[in-house]
Amino acid sequence: MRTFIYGVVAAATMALAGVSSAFAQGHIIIVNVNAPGVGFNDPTPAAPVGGNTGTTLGEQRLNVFAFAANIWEQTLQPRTDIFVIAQFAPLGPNVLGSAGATSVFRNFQGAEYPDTWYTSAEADHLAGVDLNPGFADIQATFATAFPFYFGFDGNEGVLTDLLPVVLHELGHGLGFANFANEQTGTLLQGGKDIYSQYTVDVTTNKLWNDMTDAERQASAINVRKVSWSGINVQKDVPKVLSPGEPFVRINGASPQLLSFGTAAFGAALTPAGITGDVALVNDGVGATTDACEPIPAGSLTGKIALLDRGVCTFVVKVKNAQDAGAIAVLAADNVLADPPAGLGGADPTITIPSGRITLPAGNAIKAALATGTVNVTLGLDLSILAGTDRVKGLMMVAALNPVALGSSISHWDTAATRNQLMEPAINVDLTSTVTPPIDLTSSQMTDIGWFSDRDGVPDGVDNCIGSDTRPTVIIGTCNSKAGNDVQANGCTIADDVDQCAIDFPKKPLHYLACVAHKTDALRVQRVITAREQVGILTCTILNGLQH
Amino acid sequence: MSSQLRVSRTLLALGVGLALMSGAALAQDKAANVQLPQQVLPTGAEDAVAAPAPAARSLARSATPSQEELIQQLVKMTSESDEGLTVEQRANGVEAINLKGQFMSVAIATPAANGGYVLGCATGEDAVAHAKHAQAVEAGKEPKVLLRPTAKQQPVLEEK
Repeated sequence: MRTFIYGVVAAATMALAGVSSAFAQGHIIIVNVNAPGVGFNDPTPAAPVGGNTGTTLGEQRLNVFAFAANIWEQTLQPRTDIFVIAQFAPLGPNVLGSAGATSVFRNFQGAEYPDTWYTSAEADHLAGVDLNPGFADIQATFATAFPFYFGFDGNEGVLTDLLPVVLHELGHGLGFANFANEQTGTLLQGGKDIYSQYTVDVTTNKLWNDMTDAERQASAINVRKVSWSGINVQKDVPKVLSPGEPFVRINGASPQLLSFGTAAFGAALTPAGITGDVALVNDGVGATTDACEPIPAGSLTGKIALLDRGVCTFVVKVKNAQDAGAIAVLAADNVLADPPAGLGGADPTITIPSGRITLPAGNAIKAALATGTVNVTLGLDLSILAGTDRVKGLMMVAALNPVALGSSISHWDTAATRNQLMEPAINVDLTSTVTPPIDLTSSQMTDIGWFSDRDGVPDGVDNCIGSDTRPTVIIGTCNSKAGNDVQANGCTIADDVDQCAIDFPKKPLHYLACVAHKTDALRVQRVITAREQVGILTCTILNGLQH
Repeated sequence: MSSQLRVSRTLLALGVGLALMSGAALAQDKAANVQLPQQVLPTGAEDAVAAPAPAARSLARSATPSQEELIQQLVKMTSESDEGLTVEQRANGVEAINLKGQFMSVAIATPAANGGYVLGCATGEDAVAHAKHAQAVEAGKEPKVLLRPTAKQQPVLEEK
């Protein structure tokens, strides 16, 4: 009867919304809209699996949704109830499920940015009231005819684990999505949205909200040059991502880095890298550069082979090049796709590194080979956290060329390592964790304002979320009577003083010196008066003595 | 919370529960209709209606949709066009847009050679193309994804 309970809770909570406290903890409520006997109400018996105690197919489906909703609820602590209207129903071919916001809101009380669209769920949370009473905030439909795994333990085998898919899709509905059309560059009804507020093109250094439609359209395909500027993701990236970004560099007076997709087989790239002159493959048959036939032995000795995609599999091509003496392989794509995908396949006899470069890059190297030598290095750059851009070191979002609507921008870039929940590929190694040091989704949600401390500084640029916003600086039990202003970085004066205590625990003199230094600067800037500084220092001394 | 309020809440929950058990209040029309179930107490009039309620008809229809209908449904739900969407002015300057079931993200499964699936998320035209590709792989018209993506690998194709 879980369905019944959810329905009751949903309707009852909705009806009672008017009497609930604006600051009460809300819930993420799955509203089951399946008819009796189908979907969430399917009575087909099922054995409990992987922590899912449901004994019918319908119960198990609903338990997975409830589990995912609970993860988001515990993470985001919504102030109001968030309603997810959900069902299992027939969907398109090979479509597992869909989800998204039902509506967007702007200019509501509690919004950190004016004239900026927020998803219904976040808008309700920030406003502290249901802005659309009686209507759902998120809608989700998942496929009935699909062999899902309903456990919570990630032991799905060859089945498809439903939990990360539901977590991912709910993530979009909660705010991991822009409302721009990447193909046209237009914003929803010409209006800014909170996701685009933190989407920055690191080439132009412009935020998506501040661009013209044409600029946005161009930025959408500025591969691996579009990133997330929010300060919380920035802070958490080093905790989550691993160093080491694969690269291919054309050496010379003006070295040029190429987009590169690594192979699933052969030797892994190393920081030392492998360097050599490029040789265009000639297998002597048909399209001679496809490397689908054996290549004359020794013809590629010491060379980095350049070959074309097509006709045969990548492992055949790379093996033929290896047998001809190549030390590495660059496979040029035969369609426009940037960043290029990796090379799939498996052959344990392949021992050289290889990868895919774009069609234009392949053509450029061929043109250069016609007039001289081309020397390249394939390697692993440990100075880059995998998934961050090379300009500002920010977490990249997925800018793809050609643009793929929805897969573009509203996901992290696939270069992220470890894999992230909100990449366009829902990888099998994902866990049900959405927080650092595993995952950056909660950091992104923090940036867009889910934990707003209402200090007037949006959280994505706020160095002190959860500020001490009492009107005067109070240290311990001592009220300094100094005004506790919020500074441009989102920190109050009390926050700065607290930070000194954190930085210098059990070191009262260092603590005092730290506070003195900070308050000196504030006094010089005329943020506080000399009298206020004395008050703060007095309280600091008293607080230090107490500890 | 007062005891009176608790009693009211219980009564309301029971009432809504009865309504939900009737099935009528739970029906959803179309993807764009995202209104939550209302508290509708059965009056007996429903029993006199020979034809199923509109929402029930919708569910019945959706039980066996054609491939073309499913594709059209996919096109609509993943559309990122704001044509036909309007800004609604609310009290206190609040503005809203009902997305009418658009701007959905969809998860798509492409068969993998190991018997499982590679999962991706997309919307817009890419979603339809992605789904059609997955269907072609399922039908054996295109090669299967060789490996499922893992820690360092993207979903790459054993392609030609």
